[in-house]
Amino acid sequence: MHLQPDLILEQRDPKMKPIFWILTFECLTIVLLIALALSGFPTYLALKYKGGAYFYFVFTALGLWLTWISIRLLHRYVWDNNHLNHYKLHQDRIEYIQYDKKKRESFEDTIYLGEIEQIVIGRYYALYYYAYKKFSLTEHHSLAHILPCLHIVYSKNGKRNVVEIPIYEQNDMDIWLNKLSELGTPYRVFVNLLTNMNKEQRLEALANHDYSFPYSNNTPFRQACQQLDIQMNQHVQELVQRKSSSANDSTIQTTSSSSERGSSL
Amino acid sequence: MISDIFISKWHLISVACTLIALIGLWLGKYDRKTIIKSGIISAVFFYLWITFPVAVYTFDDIRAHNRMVRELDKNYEKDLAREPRNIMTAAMGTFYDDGSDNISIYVGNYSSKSTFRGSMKMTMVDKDNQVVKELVFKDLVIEPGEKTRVAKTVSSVKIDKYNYQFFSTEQKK
Repeated sequence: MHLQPDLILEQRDPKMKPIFWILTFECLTIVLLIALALSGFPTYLALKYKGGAYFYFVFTALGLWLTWISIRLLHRYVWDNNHLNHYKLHQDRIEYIQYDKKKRESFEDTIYLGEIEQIVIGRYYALYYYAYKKFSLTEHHSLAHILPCLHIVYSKNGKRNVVEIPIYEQNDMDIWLNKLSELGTPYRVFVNLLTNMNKEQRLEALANHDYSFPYSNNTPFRQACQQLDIQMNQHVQELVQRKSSSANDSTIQTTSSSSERGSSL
Repeated sequence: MISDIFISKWHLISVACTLIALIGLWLGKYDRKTIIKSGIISAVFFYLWITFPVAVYTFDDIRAHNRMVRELDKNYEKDLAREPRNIMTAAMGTFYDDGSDNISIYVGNYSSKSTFRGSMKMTMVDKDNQVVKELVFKDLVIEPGEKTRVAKTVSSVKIDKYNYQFFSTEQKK
């Protein structure tokens, strides 16, 4: 392995836990085998009884369709499990590779610390994360987890960009925050999830300071988390109040304007 | 047989499932340690998963076999009272399963020396003395002391009585 003395932290998205991987793979393989049998069965019948079973070729169509679906799903799962986002924090830069699972493309970039404009602590929506975290029988398994993440806004060759780095271990967050604090850029905490947004939309959302507040915690992230939750809730409540009052204002305005119009009519 | 619980043709399913798991782990590019560990765990899991139902069925079979052997022994006692030189006995037992009557037919060779070669005819009648079934089993070879099932059949009509006859193809020694 190539030695990198300036490497502070290397982080890779987790692979699916073997138990869930085997379960998924078994189920899809069994579906595939059934589909293959289904598509071959009418041919077998026709050969054995010398024709007259044309009706059963409906099953061939069904079988072939199922075969196609299961092969595609198997291929997708294997691809996803072998293309894991990868982040490296160096003394002077961040390197990352991210994969677009839908388009099956990779995006690779290096951010020099000087290029960083904004660092935002956010929340990341991890769907089916139960299949990736340490497995425990006693724990309640929810379909999705909300994990902390870092949104790093940077500008390269005059083009602004943002990268979302999910944090799977809370201790890792401290390593990131400690290193990035050297930049002197104040951290902010973003209250909304930025799921299903493209880069432009995320940049726009992060630029709106209504949805974020300054992060002022010197305790380890693990301890800060609880307080952060309370702060987030407070911020959201304030935001809702502010919005509803401004909405009331605007309704008063609209009613007054309509009444004016009404009077003018 | 008790040993069928631990190794039977059904266990090929667990072998196949373990193979699929190993192929999956290999395609998923897991490290060697994970492949070995998870491979062993899944092999054990699939083995137990198959063994449990096989055990239930095997115990059922053993119980049915024991019941039929008791029936044979009872018939043999009766036959012996009629014909002291008799060595062959047959028995029929009905097992209720899924609403229809599964019939099991057994024969036993009570001799300690001579092998039986020949055929057996069994006639089953209902309670109105109507013949329901007449079965002939040819080319039977029953070793001394052997008590075995020769056929399994189904009947929609309740069998009330049955009788049997053995025809040896060999000269009596």
